[in-house]
Amino acid sequence: MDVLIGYGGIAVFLVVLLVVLQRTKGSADFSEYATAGRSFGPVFSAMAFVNTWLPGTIFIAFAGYAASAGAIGFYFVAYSILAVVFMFLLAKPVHEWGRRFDLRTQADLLGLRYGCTKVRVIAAVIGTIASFPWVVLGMQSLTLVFEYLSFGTVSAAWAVLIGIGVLVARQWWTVRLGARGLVISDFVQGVVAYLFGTVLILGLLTWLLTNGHGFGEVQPAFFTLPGPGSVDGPLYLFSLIATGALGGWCWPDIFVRLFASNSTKSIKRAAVMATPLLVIFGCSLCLLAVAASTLPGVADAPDEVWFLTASVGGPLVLTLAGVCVLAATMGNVGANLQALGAQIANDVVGVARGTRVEDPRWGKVAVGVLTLLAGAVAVATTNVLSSGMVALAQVSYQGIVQLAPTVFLGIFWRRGNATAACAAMVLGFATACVLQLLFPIAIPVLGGMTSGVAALAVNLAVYVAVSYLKPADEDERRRVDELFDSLHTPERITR
Amino acid sequence: MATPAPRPPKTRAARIVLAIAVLNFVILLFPPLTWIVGQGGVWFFLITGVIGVLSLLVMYRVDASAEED
Repeated sequence: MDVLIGYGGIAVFLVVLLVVLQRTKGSADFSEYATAGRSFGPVFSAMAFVNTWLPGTIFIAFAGYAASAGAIGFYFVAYSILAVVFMFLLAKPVHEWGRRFDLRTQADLLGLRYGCTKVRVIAAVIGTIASFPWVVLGMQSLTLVFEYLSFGTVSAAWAVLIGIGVLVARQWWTVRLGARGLVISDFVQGVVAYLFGTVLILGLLTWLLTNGHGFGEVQPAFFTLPGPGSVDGPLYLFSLIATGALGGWCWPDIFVRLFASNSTKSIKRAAVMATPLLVIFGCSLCLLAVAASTLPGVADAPDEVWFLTASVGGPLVLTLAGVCVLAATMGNVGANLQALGAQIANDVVGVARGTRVEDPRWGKVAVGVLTLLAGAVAVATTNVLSSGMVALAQVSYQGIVQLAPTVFLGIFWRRGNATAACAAMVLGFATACVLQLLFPIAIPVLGGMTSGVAALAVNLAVYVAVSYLKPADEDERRRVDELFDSLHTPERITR
Repeated sequence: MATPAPRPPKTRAARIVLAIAVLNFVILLFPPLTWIVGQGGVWFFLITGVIGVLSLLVMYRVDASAEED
């Protein structure tokens, strides 16, 4: 009976979502497929951002980190705030250039800004390499959902396959509808995962606090942050927040959300709307995880804190908790696949063929192939990746954050040029990979700095030095000046 | 050599928006601050969260009022 409630709840949610998606229209051309025709207002833009920004594993690995380590687990709230501040600052240049030059992807924008296909392709490749583990991880993160909601009738080995199967099947609509379908489904999924999820979290937190699991019962060490003399090192927290904040807009799926909004003002309003949602949801979830750290079983399996806590409410509450994870996961995985597929079609296939991609079929094929590939890798690595989810997430961030100087300085600083961008991205990515192999968690001699932040220092130094030592020629400088000036003038300039 | 085009001056609103953005980065990324308040780790994130929400609201209001002018 319980399994009917569990799996039945998931089925109801999926049916509602698929009815909404069936009523969504397809795309006439590739640009619309990749950007949803730049048509969404602030509410949809805000929820699309949040549903893409927070993966389903926020309920699993991130909550688990707070349940096992305490206050430092809140770090994702801090970097989310800074990411929204960046969103506000990026709104005008990204939206305006996107609209005027029909940009479809992050790499497309970098190609325009630097006037160089090499920059475009390198950014696309780094973005894809760093994002792919997140897709695989997202597919596997549903294991706990299908295991817990089976109430003992399905083993973990089968639960992971069911989770992967559901997510792969769900991508049929991502392949068909592109960005428009994603933004609309992000709204439904976001309401369930973060609005309804927050209500559920607050209910469970109230239960914990009134049933002997108050904050007074938690170890005092849970409420301190690492500083000088701590095991992690004084710069460890700084590194986590900096990597998250700077790396956030380097993810192709996050960045492309800016292209789906219908105006600069909509993006700025979306940023204002997203902030309280991120802060209230994030802090509530972490508080719940910290309070629940004294629940039996949580210390042994912190990643299961969300499910162990929801179990106290019986099958119905546990089902609702599982649906929240499913809704959050689908938003992130779908967004990643769509953005990566669009990027490969637009910035790798398009560049290789020497043409501007206009047929949406290229995007559909790329998203479809990536989905099948990610599904196959997820099935093949179920045992390899089942542990250390936060560690893998952090590894991906060390790579993706190496796009930050090229993205941010390219958008806000006129002097940066293609040579500087290529050198900085390649050297930064290579440095991050080597340091990550040598120091998987943090670099002790650098005060606990992570490999990504240390490599970022090299990356930034190379970018600035090359920009000054090998400046672009006069024609290129004039073109870049016109590009920046176009943000303040209504006239069109040529690509 | 071509004369560089004059760049549009930064408005007062743009400066305020930038200053608030920088303030948020300093609050959340200045290591000595997290070391000092490290003993009340959870409060640090709760308070900076509220500051973040208010900052975005002020940035939007300042930016919108400048556009109306």
